[in-house]
Amino acid sequence: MAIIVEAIKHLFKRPATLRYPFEKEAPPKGFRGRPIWDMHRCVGCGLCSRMCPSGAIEMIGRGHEARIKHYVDRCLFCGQCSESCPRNAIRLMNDFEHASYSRDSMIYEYKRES
Amino acid sequence: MKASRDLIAYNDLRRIIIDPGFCNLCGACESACPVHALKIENGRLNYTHDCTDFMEFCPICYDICPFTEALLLETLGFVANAPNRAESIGYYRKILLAQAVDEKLRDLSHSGGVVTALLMHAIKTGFIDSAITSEREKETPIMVRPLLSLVPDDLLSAVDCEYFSSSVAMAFGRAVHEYGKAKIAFVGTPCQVRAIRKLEAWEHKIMNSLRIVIGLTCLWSFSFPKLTQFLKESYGIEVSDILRIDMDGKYKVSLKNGKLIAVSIPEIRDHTLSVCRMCEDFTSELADISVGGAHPLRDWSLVIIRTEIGEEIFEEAVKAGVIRTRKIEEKPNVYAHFVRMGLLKRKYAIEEIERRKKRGEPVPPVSIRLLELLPREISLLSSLKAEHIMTKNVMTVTPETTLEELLTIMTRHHHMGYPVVDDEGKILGIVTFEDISKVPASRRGEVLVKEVARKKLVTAYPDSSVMEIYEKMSQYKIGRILIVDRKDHRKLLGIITKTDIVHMLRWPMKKFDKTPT
Repeated sequence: MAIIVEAIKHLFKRPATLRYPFEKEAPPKGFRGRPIWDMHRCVGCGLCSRMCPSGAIEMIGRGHEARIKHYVDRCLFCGQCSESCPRNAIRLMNDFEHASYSRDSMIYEYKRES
Repeated sequence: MKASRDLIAYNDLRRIIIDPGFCNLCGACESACPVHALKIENGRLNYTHDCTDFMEFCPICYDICPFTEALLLETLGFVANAPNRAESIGYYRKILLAQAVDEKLRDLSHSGGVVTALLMHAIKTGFIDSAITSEREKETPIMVRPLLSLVPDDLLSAVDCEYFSSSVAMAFGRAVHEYGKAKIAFVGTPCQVRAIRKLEAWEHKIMNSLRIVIGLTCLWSFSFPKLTQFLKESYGIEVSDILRIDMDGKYKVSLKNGKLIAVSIPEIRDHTLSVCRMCEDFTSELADISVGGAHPLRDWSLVIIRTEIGEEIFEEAVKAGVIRTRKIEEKPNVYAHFVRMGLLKRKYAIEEIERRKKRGEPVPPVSIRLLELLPREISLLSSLKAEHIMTKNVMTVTPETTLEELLTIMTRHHHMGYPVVDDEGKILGIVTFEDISKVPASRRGEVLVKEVARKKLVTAYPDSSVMEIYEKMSQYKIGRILIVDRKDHRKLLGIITKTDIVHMLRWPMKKFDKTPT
């Protein structure tokens, strides 16, 4: 009986869910999304690629000429890279929609522009 | 100095700093190392594991070491927007005398107690949540170790002045990593302040937690084994008997049984850390606030406020009534003593550097950095003319001024050298602080400027390049050069000091904006 009352009550309430992907809610504070590199701050030490538990970060070259390749399909969004960076060059963004039909489009490259 | 750097900074650090014995164990490298490979334990710096296991390239520990040449000009940027600048004092906003209102603090600290009062007030108001200072070890009271204070009362154990180095920069790293503190005040000697500023200039992550840097004046730090051996051999003193060491013109060693032994500066100088003997910074020129003793006043401290944040926290403490201040102009003697110590340290440092260079002994890169210029800087200096950077409204004195009056002028305006000019505006000579300090204090009222002023002048013309002037300064070992008219060599147009040149290297853009096109 109680369940019917409850069900009727909810007929007049607004839905609890959002009509994703047409409606979106902003991620909460401290959300760990895709990491991005600020190559002007990066010193090229390669700690992030060594620390990454899933091997999602590849560093090519070293020092200021270093290029960072980030494979989002391997990333598990743990935030270890930004934690270990000595110079706060890695920030975690708020986006979470990374699905794609090809693996190639899930590789992000970062390079220092002089 | 080496042209190219090793990919792993530790190799350079070990070769240039640690092996020649220049490390003073400040611990900045320990707090900066991203893989925690460096650790200070039992009075030495240990390399606990091979950092190449984790990285192929890392510049950090060499860059942030206070005795390397890296980032030096960048660190000046933290204080360089202050309106005033003076030799042996650095950039500053205000110089004044101050003391803690609380008499207990003054007694405990044997001086003004300004730093303690300032920090206690800042913790109470929540401006900072912790402070890093040094405290005395219980068994051997002259040794110091870093202390992290979380509540105001903690600070009471750290109120005295120190003569040994302690690993405060390491404590800063621990405060961030282990205590999770986010608003930290840092207190240290000039080299420790430089380490912290270098970390800040490097934009290291842990520096987001730094609120304020308070610098102490420092003549030299002692090498603990050398000093204890010296005191034992010459005076028969055991380390554990020493209660404290004071400094006012002479080093006074107080013993636990109440005896007092005075040791002169030249005698004790050989027992300081070798790197201290080559350090030119007496007043912590990179700190937000510098605090030093105000000899001969017992209960006061001399305070140099350099940055906006330093001014803010100091004014707040004065308003809250924990610190009272006095104008420095009231006491020209205090100022003269302070500057004399600064110049003394610089003079000894330059002598020591030259002596070491001649013998081919290693010199820490930081000490040569400001004596030798980089190619980029040489080309910048060659492209500039003297008239672009000289100070045009030069303060002058008349030949009939007495030295006492001159000292008052110096205390008020903080310039260290004045051209002597007669009524017709012709230059007769130049008088500097060194000339005054050669005359005993009792005779300064009667001696006139013209008697001590140097008649032989080193001058340049407004169209000479700054590089030329810089070379002249190094050649004659002087700190200032007069700019005179090309036709009339006795007509004064302007003055250029060495600090002007260094200041310009730091702010090339700013200076270029000013030049007429």
